[in-house]
Amino acid sequence: MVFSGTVLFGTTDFSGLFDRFGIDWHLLVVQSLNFILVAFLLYRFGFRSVIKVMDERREKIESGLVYADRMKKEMASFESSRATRVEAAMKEADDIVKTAKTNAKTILEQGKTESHRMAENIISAAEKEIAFLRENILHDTKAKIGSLVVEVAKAVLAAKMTDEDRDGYAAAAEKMMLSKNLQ
Amino acid sequence: MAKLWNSFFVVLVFVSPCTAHCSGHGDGVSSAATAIFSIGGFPVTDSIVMGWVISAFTIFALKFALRGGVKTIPSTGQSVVESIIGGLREIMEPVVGRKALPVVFPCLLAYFFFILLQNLGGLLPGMGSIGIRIDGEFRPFFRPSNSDLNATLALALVAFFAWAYFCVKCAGVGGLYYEIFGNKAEKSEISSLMYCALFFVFFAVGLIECISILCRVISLSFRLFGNTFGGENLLHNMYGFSTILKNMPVVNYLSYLIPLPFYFLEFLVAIIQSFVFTLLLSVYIGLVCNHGDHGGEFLKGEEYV
Amino acid sequence: MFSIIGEITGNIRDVAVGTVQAVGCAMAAIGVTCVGAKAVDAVGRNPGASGKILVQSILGMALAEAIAFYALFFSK
Repeated sequence: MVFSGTVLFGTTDFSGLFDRFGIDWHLLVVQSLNFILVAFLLYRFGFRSVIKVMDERREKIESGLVYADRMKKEMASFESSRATRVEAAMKEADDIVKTAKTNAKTILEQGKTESHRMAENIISAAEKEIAFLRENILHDTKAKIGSLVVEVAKAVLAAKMTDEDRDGYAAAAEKMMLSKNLQ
Repeated sequence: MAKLWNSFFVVLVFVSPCTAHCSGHGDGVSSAATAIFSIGGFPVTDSIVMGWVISAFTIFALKFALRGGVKTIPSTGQSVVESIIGGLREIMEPVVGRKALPVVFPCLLAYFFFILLQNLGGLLPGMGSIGIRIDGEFRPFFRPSNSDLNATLALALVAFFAWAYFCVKCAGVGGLYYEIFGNKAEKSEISSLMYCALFFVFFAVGLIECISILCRVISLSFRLFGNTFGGENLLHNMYGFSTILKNMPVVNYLSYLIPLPFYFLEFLVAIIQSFVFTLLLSVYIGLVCNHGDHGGEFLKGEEYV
Repeated sequence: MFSIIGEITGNIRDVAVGTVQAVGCAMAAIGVTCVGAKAVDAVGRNPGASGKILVQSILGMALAEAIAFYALFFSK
């Protein structure tokens, strides 16, 4: 090309060529200015903002990807830590349930024995009371029956007996009672 | 989007035969643009008018696509623009280098969109067929802007100055000088006498490199001009060919189909040429600015003109 | 041979220009073909690198194609 370039400049009559294609510096200037103006206007109205937006979007996507990557990593680490934590928590919960169960058992046992004891106490107290009451009642009944017998005897004796008999029986009774009391 | 392309093709199918490069003068499209009128010594040619129309369309199309503001969550139009920009950036990034890309990219984008829409606009009906007759001479209003050497040469000149500016900005004057004239030999591998001698060799190589750099202006402009102008001629000639068929009794309707495949070809060429121009410019910038990071290697050892 | 054709057509310069244009375009076409064939080859070997290969091959095609325009425009 270099070679042909020198040949071109050496042999070709450029002015003739330019004449043939109507080269005119006026036209060159006008066309150049036209292109420069269009290029500037295109840059001013379109390309500048479009390129800026494209760069911004690319940056945003890049930062978004980086962010997503970081989030993914964090998520993974969080996930693993969460698993261990959950495991620990499960263990802890198991332990708590176990201790609670044993506690409940002991408390139940305690309650059972306590209630047994209390029931026994109540029963024994009741038995005591019953015995006491029976004693009382027996005593009262004895006394009442005794006095009743005496009354009845008195009445019978008063109706059928003479004074002599009465004295005799009284003396005999007195004697018996005395003997009985002495026994 | 697909619907849009479909409707575009439908327009091409039904309207293209009417585009009629029937300007009437000579055979084929005239190699120079014709002046319609002039303002203060500045002639206004048909290609300049077309350039203005398409420029205005480009700006309004972009404004329309981005209506409602540029948002983080893009609208349909914005996502279309963004997908093109994103695709270009993916391609340009390893060529220009990560460091220089933010500085250079808007310029490359402007070149891509400008040339693409000028090229596609050149396929529209009405090129060279709508005009006025002044003094018995037909003067068309529209001519594909890039089929005028003035337009492409202007683009290439602007590209050359932009290249110089970006190189100085990204690599510095010293870096640019080193890239062209500098001694790139490894000092540790050769003797110091040899190293000093290589200074002259590399300086001579740099002079040749300068010619090659100047040739880039010519090659850039002529590549774009040649493709567009050649395509325009091709369409014109195919239309002329179809007029022969038109006079025949049975196959006259087929005449409308003859230029059609070439419209598809030119559609492809329009896209590829805008891409090539942008890519070559980015390669030229990358040759100087792209050091350090990985992408720089695949540009080395080749002469891109 | 050129002189014979030149005598026939009456203008040897036209013939020379036409020949240069034809040969230049043909060579450019061959260059583009080589690039395209090699690009297809490369994509077939390594489909994953098709994007990079596309860029490289378009560059190569553009550079080869430029020769055709030099031949067309600078020959006259």
